[in-house]
Amino acid sequence: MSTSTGDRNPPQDTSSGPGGSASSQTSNGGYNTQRTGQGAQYSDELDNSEDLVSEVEEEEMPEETEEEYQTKQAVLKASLPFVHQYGWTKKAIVAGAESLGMPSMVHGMFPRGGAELVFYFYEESNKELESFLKQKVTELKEKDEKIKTGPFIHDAIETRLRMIIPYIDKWPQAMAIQTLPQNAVQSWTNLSRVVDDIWFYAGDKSNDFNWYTKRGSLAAVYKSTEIYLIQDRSEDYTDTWNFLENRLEDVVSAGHLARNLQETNTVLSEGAKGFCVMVSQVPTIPKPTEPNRNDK
Amino acid sequence: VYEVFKNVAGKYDLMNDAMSFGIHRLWKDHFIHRMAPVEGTKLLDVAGGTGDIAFRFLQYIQSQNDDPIMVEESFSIPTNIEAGAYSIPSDYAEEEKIDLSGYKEDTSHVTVCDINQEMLNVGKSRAEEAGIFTGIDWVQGNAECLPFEDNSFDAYTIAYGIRNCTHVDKVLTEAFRVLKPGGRFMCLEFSQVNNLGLRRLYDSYSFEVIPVMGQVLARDWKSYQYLVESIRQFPNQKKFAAMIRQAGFGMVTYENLTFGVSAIHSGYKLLKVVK
Repeated sequence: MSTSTGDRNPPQDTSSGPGGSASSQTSNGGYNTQRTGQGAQYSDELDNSEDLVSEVEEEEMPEETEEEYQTKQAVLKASLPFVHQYGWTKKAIVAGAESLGMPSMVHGMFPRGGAELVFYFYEESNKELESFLKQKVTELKEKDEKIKTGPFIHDAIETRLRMIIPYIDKWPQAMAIQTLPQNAVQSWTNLSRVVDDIWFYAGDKSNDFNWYTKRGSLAAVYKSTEIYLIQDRSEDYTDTWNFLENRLEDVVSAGHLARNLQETNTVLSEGAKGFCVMVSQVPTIPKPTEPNRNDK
Repeated sequence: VYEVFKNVAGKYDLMNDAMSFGIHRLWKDHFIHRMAPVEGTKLLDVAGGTGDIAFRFLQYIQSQNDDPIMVEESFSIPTNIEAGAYSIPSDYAEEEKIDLSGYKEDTSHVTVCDINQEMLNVGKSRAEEAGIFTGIDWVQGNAECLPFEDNSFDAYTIAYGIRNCTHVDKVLTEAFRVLKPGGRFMCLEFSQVNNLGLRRLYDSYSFEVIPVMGQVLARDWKSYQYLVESIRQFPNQKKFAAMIRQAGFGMVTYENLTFGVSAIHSGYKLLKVVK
């Protein structure tokens, strides 16, 4: 776990392999193309394992090709509008597939069912957030302004949460799906991506334990605001944004408190050290000499 | 191959029972669960003469309609029967086994295709006994040269049939042809046991016990020995997956059942996606 400046998760974008989406469906060149990014390391294992003498092998499948990936993404994208009607479920995926003219059997491409829709939406929103942040940073640079961390983070979280609002009627279901154990790891990765992006573009350069505390506290703020959002009934969700502001202030004051404590700690320890030094010097202080009784 | 199955048609289930201690029924159930078909799917079941897969397919869809997952989206099951080419006599419609009320013409359908007419006849009589009259068609045909048009089925299944075909690659390309773009190919077949220890056990059981059982139960040693050998010479999971990919399918995956005694292979006929 490195804590280099602006540590980021590996980018999720794909690069098209040689047998990309231009190939017809009867090509078998797709067998060997690999998708970089997630899990591309399996490709090396597969090539080597074909030559293994041992027949008892782990089940390894080549990573999905660019074409397969695009197909899946297209189906998921077409399924999103049906979420209002069917929720984040297999039925929505079936409806999406059929709207593209594909048979309902296509849902078998998504073994995790509705969770795949949730993750797709989450990832797309994250990508949108990232481009928003990039744009904001370049705008500020052009105006030659410094990034004010507080408002920047507030805007970032607000933008990100607003992306949920179109689906807010079924968002509680999505949150529930994300808490299921089989989905928990992916949800955690998604959340940390959000938080990481925000801090990175806010200009965080910490390379010590602060890196973790910053992301942890921001994740807590984001999650609590998300939960507040889904039950908010105010006009344009203004209550939520106020809640967010308060949470961010809490974090800041907690940060100040931590720093105060640290400083106090330093001062106290310095004082204690000084006291100990003084005490240790006592035996070396020469006793005041007795006046000479013989002097008259 | 034809001869073997002519002899065996009547006792086909018995044979599968011997091979798998009756677990093949569970495997077939699991197979259909993996497919998870939705109402309106058109299935082609090849080499499934006796209709095991076909019946399970219809029952699965029916049960989905009966128990909707989300209460507020419950499918309303119409109680009147749509008349048409498939009019059902009213007293048959009362049959408890499969409730066909609400069966429309453009809904789920399975076409069972088999090279062996006798297997099909067995299947037909089983359907009659179960009270199924619509949604199934029984067609005689060769898996290597299917009597169907291109792009005409949503799903293609072949359960315990492909190892008996002489040209597996031809079967796969034919499957690819008749599937619609986006359609799914699924194959359930005996495969290679991964675990070495179990494999030895399985081998000795296959080569020694099964032909004996064949002789005792069906008075047919040779057919059963043929069956055991056909399993051994069939490519293993990974090789078969590669063959499926070569026929043009994408997203080819396989799932082992019971340590690899059986395996489900699945592939999709992908289409070019408009972004």
